[in-house]
Amino acid sequence: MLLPLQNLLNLKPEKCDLMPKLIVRASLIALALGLASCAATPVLAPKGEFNGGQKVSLDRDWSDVSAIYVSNNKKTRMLTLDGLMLNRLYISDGLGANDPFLIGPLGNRASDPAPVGGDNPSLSEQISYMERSVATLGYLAVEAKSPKPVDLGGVRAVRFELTMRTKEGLNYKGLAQATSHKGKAYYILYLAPEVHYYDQSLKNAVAAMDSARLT
Amino acid sequence: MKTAAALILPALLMTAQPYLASAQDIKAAAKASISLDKDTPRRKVGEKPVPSSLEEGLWHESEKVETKAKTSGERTRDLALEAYVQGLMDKVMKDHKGESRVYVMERPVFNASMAPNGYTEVWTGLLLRAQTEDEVAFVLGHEAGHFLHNHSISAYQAFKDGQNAALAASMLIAVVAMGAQANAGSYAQASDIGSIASGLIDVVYLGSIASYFSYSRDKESYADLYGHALSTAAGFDQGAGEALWADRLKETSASDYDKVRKSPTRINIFGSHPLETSRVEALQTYNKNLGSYQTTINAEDRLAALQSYRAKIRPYLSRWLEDDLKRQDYGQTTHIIDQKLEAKQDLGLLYFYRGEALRLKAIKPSAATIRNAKEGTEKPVTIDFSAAIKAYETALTYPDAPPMTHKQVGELYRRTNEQQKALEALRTYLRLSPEAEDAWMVDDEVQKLTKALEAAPTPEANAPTAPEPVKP
Repeated sequence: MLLPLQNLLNLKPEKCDLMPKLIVRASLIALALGLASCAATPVLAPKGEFNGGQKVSLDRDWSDVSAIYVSNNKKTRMLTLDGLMLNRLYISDGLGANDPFLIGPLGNRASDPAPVGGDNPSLSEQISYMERSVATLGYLAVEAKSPKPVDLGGVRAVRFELTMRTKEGLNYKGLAQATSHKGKAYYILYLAPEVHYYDQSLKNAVAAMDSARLT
Repeated sequence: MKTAAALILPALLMTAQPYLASAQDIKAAAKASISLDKDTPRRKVGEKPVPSSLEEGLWHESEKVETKAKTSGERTRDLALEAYVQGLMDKVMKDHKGESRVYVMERPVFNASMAPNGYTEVWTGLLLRAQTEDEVAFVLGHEAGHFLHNHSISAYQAFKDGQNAALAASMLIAVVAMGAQANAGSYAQASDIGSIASGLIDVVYLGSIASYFSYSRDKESYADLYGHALSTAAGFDQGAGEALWADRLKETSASDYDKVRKSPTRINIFGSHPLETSRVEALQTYNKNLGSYQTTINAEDRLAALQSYRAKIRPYLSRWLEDDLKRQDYGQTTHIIDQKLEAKQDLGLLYFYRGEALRLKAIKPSAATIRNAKEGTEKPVTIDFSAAIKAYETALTYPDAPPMTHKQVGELYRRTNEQQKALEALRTYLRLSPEAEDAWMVDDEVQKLTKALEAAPTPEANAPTAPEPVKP
């Protein structure tokens, strides 16, 4: 694959050894991502029960775009209302010690592993874990604040806010919920730009979080 | 006429000489196998490109990138930090002061670069890793050396043959990346694909015109000596360069990742020529042949230099270590922290972060665990927190250990079934931070542990408790 591309681009390794490698690798990554995305489409996540390892009830229709999120973990679902840049809701199944909640755009690789929460994390460890996980998506200055206790049908959980910004300097906000139950960790995360979009869909995200029940 | 030529010619010759023009410099460089006399002449003070020249084109392209840097989300919002580094650059550039504009970017990787128009980026990863102001000054001098000797122009000449191929590549990447962005599953993913592509287009685009971050091995060696000359002329330590480069080699060997350990060390992410032991040796040889080299630096002066620089970066130390932890190369983070211990200051904070690095390293899945998890053949893994616990306990023997240390070590005692010690540590945290936002969660843990201990007391109930912070 490398040689034809080098021929196509008329690259001369003896003159620019690093550049062609970078170009070819980036081209292959971009091509792979583009092609992989072609096969999948968003599906409706209708108002009502949304079944996973963590049962939640949605108070309105969402789009489930998990299938086109090529690097995503099969144990985390991703929903959106207006498009991923404007709002998104991640809902995990019960995660084991080595299951990542979020995976960065280049995947979960041995040389760049997605963060995992470990075994039997406490609520405060889960907050710290969420900060690290959101940072792997490429956000900067990710900070958690205002943790509040939540009762999920008899299971103690924590709900907290997140602040962050993109590399381009756009401020984002988040609301997250985390808990552990019967040896598994459960997470819900809502992210949106701070201006307008965060507040616009917050009530829908809160409704999903309030309804969470662990199986 | 003859008189005028006699006056002008020596002046022209002086300008045309390399920055290090003294016979001793040239001789010392030759002993280090670096032929400075072959380098391009240094630029004049305040020199601007000739209109419609190649250099003007390079300046124009650099200005476009600089505009992006100014408004980047990654640029520090701490103007005092940027002013500090700019001040160092001005000191190092001396007569050329004012020809560079420094932007500090919050990226946890060792990197600095200077474009042909004087636009300079210094990343926080470099400022964290430098041990002294002298080391930062050396790197700034190194970059200034590339700038003052117009290395980007000669690099462009070397790259010129690849120009058409590079432009074709940039077009291909742009088209593919647009398609990938349209189909990307998340903003961050789209953004990152875009970044990868646009970053490459920039490199290819600028590289096809200038390739200004990709100097030849010779130019890097020249820049090392210019960095040395400029920083020592400004009063900085002459051993700083070799110390900094040697430590980068050690940091590479300390990586968690086999791939990184086996890769050459790079001190500029765009650099086509890696840092090799020979560069450190060349600086050592050069220093020795300059005649005033001291092989052992006075311990007192060394400590003063370490502590003076620490005072400058102390407000950022915690945040930069947090950022470095996000790289998930805990071997390298531990190496950086261990280097920082030499200043004999901030020991509580540093050991706390050592504990953090070792705790995260303990829970980080190995390559085999990731593979097994993907294949659904997960096996139980025993996690050893003893090194992390030891680091937290050491932190707590110093008065500047963050209160959070009690909570973190308490969590690990709980995980390792040292319930009584966990209880004491968490109670200490609550006593020290009663208003903390997470106090209710820690209190929950305390209640659970108390109930568990009441239900089943263990022999370790009488074990020693977590140490109290030492009074300053």
